[in-house]
Amino acid sequence: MIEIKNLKKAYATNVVALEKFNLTIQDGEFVALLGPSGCGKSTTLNCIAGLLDPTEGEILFDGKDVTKDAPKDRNIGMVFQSYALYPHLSVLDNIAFPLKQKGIGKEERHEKARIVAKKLQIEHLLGRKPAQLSGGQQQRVAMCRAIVKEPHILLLDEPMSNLDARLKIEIREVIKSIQQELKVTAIIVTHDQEEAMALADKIAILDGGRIQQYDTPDMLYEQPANLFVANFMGNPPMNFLKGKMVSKGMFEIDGVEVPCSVPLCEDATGKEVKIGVRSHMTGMSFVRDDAHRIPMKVRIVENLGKELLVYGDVGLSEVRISYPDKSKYPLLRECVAGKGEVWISLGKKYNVFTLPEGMNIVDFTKAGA
Amino acid sequence: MLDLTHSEKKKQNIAIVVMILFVLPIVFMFIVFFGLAFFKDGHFTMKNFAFVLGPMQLRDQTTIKPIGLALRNSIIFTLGVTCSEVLISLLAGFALSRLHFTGRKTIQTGLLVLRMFPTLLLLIAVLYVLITLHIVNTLKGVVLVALAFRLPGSTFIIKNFFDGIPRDVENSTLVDGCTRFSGFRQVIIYLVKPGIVSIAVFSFLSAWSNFILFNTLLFGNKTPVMATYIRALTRNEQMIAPYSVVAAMGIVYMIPVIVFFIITQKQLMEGNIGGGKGVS
Amino acid sequence: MRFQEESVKGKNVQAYAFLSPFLILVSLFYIAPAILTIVMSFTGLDGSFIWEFVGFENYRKIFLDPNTLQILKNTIMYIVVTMLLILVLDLFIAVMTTYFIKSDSWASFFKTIIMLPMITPSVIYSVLWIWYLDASDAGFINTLFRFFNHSFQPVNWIAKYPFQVIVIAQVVVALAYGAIIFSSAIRSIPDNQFKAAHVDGASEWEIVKSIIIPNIRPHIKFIAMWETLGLMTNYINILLITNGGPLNRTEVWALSAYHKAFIDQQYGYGAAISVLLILVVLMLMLLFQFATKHRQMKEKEAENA
Repeated sequence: MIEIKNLKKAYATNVVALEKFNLTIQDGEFVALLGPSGCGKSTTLNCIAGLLDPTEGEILFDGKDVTKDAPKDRNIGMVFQSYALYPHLSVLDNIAFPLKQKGIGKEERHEKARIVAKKLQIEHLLGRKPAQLSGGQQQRVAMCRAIVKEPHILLLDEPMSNLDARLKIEIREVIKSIQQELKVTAIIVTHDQEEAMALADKIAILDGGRIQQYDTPDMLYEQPANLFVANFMGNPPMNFLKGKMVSKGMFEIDGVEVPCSVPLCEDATGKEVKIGVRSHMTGMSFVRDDAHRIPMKVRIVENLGKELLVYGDVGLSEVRISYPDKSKYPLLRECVAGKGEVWISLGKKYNVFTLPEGMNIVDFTKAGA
Repeated sequence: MLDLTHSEKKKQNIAIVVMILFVLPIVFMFIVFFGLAFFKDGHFTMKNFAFVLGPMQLRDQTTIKPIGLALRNSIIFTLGVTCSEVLISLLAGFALSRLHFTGRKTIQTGLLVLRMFPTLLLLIAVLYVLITLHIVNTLKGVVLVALAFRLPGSTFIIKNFFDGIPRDVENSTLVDGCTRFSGFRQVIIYLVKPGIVSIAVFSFLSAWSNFILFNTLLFGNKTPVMATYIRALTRNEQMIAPYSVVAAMGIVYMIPVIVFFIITQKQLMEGNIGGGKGVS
Repeated sequence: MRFQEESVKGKNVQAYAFLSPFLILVSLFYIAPAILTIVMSFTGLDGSFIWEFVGFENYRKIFLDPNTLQILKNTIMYIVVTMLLILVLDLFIAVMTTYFIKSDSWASFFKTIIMLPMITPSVIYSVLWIWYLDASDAGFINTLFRFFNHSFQPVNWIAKYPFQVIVIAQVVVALAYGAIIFSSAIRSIPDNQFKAAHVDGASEWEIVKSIIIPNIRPHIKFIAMWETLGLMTNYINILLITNGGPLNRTEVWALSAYHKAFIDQQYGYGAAISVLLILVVLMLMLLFQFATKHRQMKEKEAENA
């Protein structure tokens, strides 16, 4: 079990990269640290690895305080964004390197390296030097090197950001299967939310050096705690409609009165709100069959093959709608030209965020599953 | 093979001819001069190299001492300077590049100034320092001075090489179980090998060819080196030894230089900035 | 907080352990002499090794010395002429061997030959020139001229044209460095600039003028400054070929400091001459640093714009 308590990292230039950071990771869990650039995720990883000294706070591995321990004493394996292979050593020696540091004899460590290389299907490359390998191959070597010493914890610092889309998916599978097979606790740092959702058991979303929400991918998707999380998760991103809570249970969006059909935790009457609806849950029709429908101006229509993607404006808010009925394409094109109009509704499931705090005030305990 | 157009090929050929004409005087100068070493009174001979084996008699009855002592001193001096320079600049360059400590910025700025500073102008005071430390007129003293003059330049070069090593590779050694030092020994050193080689080459060339330090900091004839040995016979106004003998000495003197040059030609060609100029 | 303090002190000890040989050597034999030189310049230190403070007396002597003007003139002429020749020839060589000659083996061949003078030890290099220009019949040039014109009288080239001789000798030695730097600079000019120019029908001369030179301008500035610094302070070849003669015709500032100190044994006076030169050198270095920073700032602005 990894516990991070009150971690703070501040630099001499008064830049605070991490503050009041608390996290607990169970053995065998795969956790992702997700967030935009500069949010402090790499800083956290480096503190866990021992490559950075925190300004304040503690890190405990299974109850033992390792905050002051050197990286070599923490029994960790790490895969770097640049792979950081040793250019003057062969692939075999690269992988065997950690075992050499432990004092394991040549025969034994080469054998262990071979086993691991076989697992990642790179045994045919063992005699080569890193410069002779492709990006994907180097990545696998880096992974072998990280796991060959059977570490307690596996750390991955944006390991796939230098790979093309197809390779990314391939390596993702490799990482997932390795982690499950070895049952090693893994922490991955990434800015790609799809990657995080695919790999991790739990995701910690970071922004500005603080954890915004720490939950399973599904919960983050279905019950985002605030605007930042809601905006970050999901592709295409969530739609946000700006409005006001004019009375208990009634919104006003772009001049239209819309009843609020989800239970709320607090009374937000009089407050400005943002209503977040997923692109495929936003109802769209060509007639105003309901007084509560909100007009939308269509700007672009894209045919994605499996559905249509409609971009438009509701008031000042940009909206994206996934529309499954492709036969309506010509009709929508006419709307773009101004010869027709569409109306949207909020659907059954949506989020309500108060402004300026950005907190989600939907009461999920009462909402339907 | 490059694919050149007709006009490009023509231009290249003209350029080649032009360059040949341009370097011809230099080539001539070297070939003819060193060719002199093999002739005496119009005949081909190796007699001009007699100084290698023992004292040599010149036509006008003067005797030249054998080259052995000068050769030995030059070798000791050069090896001493080169090995020390590589080691010391490696340590210092690593510290300046990788370690964080107070005064780091000051020393780094100092490095920039010192590597371009005219060291030759300080010989007067250097002599005094050596006298005070009782090491004047010793080979050891000259080694220390040569080192001090060259270290800022070499350290700067090595520091740049260290700067170029990705942080991640270093961090990787730490995660893989190394201490700072064992990581350095097993990995980092290999990554700066080209830097080490270039420093070693320039250090060797400079130390082997050095003249002025010996000229000013050593008196008497107790510790000759190759440069002072040869110079003693070639004062500007009066050549004590005939050109053929000097040419022979020149060949002996330059053999290590040529050998080194051929071996490390690649490094010198890559335009190594900073260490290149001091072959005096 | 204590955790941080401890580690800072520990880091300092570790770092200075790495740095100690460097610091000791450089302080004792480089920095200390530098300071000492300045101090010396205010004393009348000579062969008797008595330190007596004389204030600005040495500097006054420099200004009052009738030779000073000659020496100054020599120095400036030497530096300017040599530096310009080096720049022009270096560009010539670089353009020839990198742009016109596309074959690597020929280019390497020529560069190797040009490097020869640079790696030749000065004591040998100077003898080469002395022999080449020897006043007697045995001198190479004299023999050559005699070959074409039998009534040709041998000329003492070094005595007659000492200035030209030291300039040429220094130029030949200095060529390799700049040529290599310009060469690699030219090689890194993106190919499409040349292609575009060819398509536009530019002549070779125009290409050199409008593409090559502007692209390597920072390198040209660097070499100009680097060579100037070297020319100001390196007096070895002059010492070995003409020794400042005849009659001070090739005596340059740095050499005069050497002569005053080690031949005349006037250490204090020699130190004063050195100090003045050091001041000029420092000013030049500052100027160059300033110019480079200025250019870097301008480039940053251009990038952000």
